[in-house]
Amino acid sequence: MVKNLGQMKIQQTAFMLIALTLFFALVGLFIAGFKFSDLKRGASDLEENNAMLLVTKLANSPEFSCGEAFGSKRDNCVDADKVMILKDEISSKYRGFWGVADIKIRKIYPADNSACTAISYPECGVINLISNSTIGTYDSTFVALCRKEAQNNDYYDKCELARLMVSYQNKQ
Amino acid sequence: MKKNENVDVVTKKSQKEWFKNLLSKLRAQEEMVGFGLIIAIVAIILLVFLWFSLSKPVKDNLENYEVQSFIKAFLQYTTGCENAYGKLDMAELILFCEDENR
Repeated sequence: MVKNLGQMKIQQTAFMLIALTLFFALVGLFIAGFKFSDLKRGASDLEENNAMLLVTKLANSPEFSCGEAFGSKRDNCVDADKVMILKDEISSKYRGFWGVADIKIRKIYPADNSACTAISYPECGVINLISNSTIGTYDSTFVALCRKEAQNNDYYDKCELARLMVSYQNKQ
Repeated sequence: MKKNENVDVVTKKSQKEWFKNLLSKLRAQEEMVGFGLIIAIVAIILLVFLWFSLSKPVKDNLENYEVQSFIKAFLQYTTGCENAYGKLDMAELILFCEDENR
């Protein structure tokens, strides 16, 4: 009787250990499944973060910034004339340089939705630097879009309010 | 006398049974406490995991940057107003208005 009771106890412990192992394995599987299902979203989040960080620096990069062309050095100032030259060169010399799907500058005040070409500039509102047909999500920052404007045989600095928009591709 | 002996035997038997019952109850309680502990540990692990997976990276700095960038861009906007030196931008216009109001 005592021997049987001991065996019973050992059996009980063994069953409990098996049940615990199975339980933890199931919990582990659940966590792993959750993590792996989140991978695509993680990749998109990473791209979004990169685009956000890029957009904060892009306006002050040498390719875009006004430098000292409009008097003193300015922050968040984009030279529109320089960007229009860059637009022609970007497909050949800057392919994949910034690693994003799309870069555009949209004038928000005064608002204008017409695309800028060599002919329509400066009477236009959207400069498409890198255009991609794939749909992505935009991150943007406000910039002053400045250019030299002619007036009465003279030139003055004209700055308008614009958004520098960077798009990244959604992985989902 | 015999009656008293019978009563003694009955009480001893009931005492033994009561003790057995108590022992089995205690053992059951011990197992329940163990089970409860395991559930508590697993719950804590799951909560920690959930907290880590649900906590999003803070975007405050970047949102602050958006506000700062708007203010910087807005102050550079060239207005229609001009003085002897030419067109005024928003920052110059604000300073001009402040000077005029003094």
